[in-house]
Amino acid sequence: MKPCRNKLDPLDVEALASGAGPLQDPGAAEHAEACPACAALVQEARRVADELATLAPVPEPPLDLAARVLRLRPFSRREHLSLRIWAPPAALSAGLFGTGLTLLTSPALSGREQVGLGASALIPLVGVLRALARWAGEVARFAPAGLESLSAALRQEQALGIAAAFLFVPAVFGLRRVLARARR
Amino acid sequence: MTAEEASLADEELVRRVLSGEEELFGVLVRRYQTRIHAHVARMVGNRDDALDLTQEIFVKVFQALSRYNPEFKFSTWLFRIAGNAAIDHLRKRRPRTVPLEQPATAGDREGVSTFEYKSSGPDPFSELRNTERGQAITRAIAGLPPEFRELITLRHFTGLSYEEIAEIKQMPLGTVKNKLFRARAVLKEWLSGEMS
Repeated sequence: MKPCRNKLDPLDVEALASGAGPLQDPGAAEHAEACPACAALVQEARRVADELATLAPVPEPPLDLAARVLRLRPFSRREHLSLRIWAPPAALSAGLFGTGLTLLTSPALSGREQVGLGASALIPLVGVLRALARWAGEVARFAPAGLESLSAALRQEQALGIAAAFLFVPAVFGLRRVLARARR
Repeated sequence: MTAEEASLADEELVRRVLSGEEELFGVLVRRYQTRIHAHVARMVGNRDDALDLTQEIFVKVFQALSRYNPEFKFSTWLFRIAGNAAIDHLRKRRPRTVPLEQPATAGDREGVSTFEYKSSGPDPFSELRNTERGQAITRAIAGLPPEFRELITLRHFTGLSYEEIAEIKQMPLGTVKNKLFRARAVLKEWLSGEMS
């Protein structure tokens, strides 16, 4: 094959191979038709494009991808403002708080038990208020008696124990989200 | 996914997700997950990274859904976010890309994972040759700068038109063609040894 003295621009070779119009020389298509050397270049470029099309497909993503995305997604603005989401845990927390207060002020409990229960209710806050050493000291002083009273009360009132277990429901939901994010 | 949900247009699904039916976002994810994952996988060249990135892209899209302009196609917007995320990922990872002016050698592209090449015949020699050629093409693509790699992926693997690519990349049509043909010319040069 005779080499071409007026070789096509590489961009036009690719353009013609892709079936698009030339970018550099408007007469490139006519030239390629008349010149076997340039036609061979276009043919070779077409072969590369065909090779690209025959690459094996990428494996499919897992079927549960959508479920994972829905689990990982943040709350939407509407959800943040929605009573439907916050009302149940808020009502549950308020109910438990109210029940706790009622129990604490119940005349059936002795003064010592009331103090013990009150102190044990503060135990979960210790983690948050660690810096306040004075508070932590007081709670630590009352904790053994408080735990004893709480355990006794739970033994006597199983319904109270079941109600207390519900406290974990919102915590479990929160924990699931945190774990899902950590896994990501 | 119900038949009714599957038949809904993307824009309608977005509108309903924004108006409170968040679970419908799953329909959009299922509709595009294969294409986005394939696009990202071709861009980053690693299946695990691609999977994490695909997940991240859809979470990002959910967060940005209120900023989506329904005058444009949802898929265009989605591919734009996916492409930007993949390019960011590649920049953070500092891949070994090779300037377009300079041919890449096998050493330049070491460590780039490849996808298998589709075999068409039972002949083991042809199969091996096909695999090697496929790997060479994948390595050559991985050696391109991210922006050129994205254009090749969008055009040849995702099958988008030049006009759609121009819209996704927010570039003039001529620029898209110019860059794409340049990238292909370099690929052809790199692969000339393999093809002969």
